[in-house]
Amino acid sequence: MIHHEKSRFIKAEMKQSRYAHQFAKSLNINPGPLAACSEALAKQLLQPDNLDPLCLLSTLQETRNAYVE
Amino acid sequence: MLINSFLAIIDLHGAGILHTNISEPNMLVERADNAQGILVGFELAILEQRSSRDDESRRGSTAGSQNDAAGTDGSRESSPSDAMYRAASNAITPHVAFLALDRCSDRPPVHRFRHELESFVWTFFFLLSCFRNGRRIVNPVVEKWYTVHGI
Repeated sequence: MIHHEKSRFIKAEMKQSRYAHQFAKSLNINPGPLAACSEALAKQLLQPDNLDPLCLLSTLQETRNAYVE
Repeated sequence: MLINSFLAIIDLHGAGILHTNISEPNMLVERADNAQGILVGFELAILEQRSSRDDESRRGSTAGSQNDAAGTDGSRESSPSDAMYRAASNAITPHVAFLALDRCSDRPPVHRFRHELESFVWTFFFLLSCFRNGRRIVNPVVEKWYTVHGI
């Protein structure tokens, strides 16, 4: 079931940010901010009913700012 | 770049519109130095049906409404217009890989703003998982999102 596959993906990404690291590495950028963003979004997605647009936006903006600075 | 698309989703919600098909193919990125994200694919967009509770909060009132029988999650139909809205929001199945999880069921709830947010986050993870240096790769883990469905 897609529920099982996605839940497993989220829990793994919360722990390791594996794909964020790989993605950042392929672009030759610092993986730290993207990995932090991935972990934060995965954590928020664990409770999808409580997704808060402001929290999501804040997470995205922090990540963007980390790369712009 | 994704922030532009995310802000577009919020702006649409503010205007009473739900995109309903937030997905990787519908989030484009310009080829430019100062690239911007662009949200496209509005074929399935619908007018958002706000609950009475939403309207109350928009007016700054804390009082509930007896007419809020449908609840904010739209789990119950309370009028013919609710039924029509449910039919419209479920008329065509968008990209299943990006659907909010509770929409992947035999009787999905009415599409709400929170489903748009969830689809956005799934799209984010899809991009991280299936793109390397701007090129699409096959990720067996994520490919299952397309083939293992619960509908």
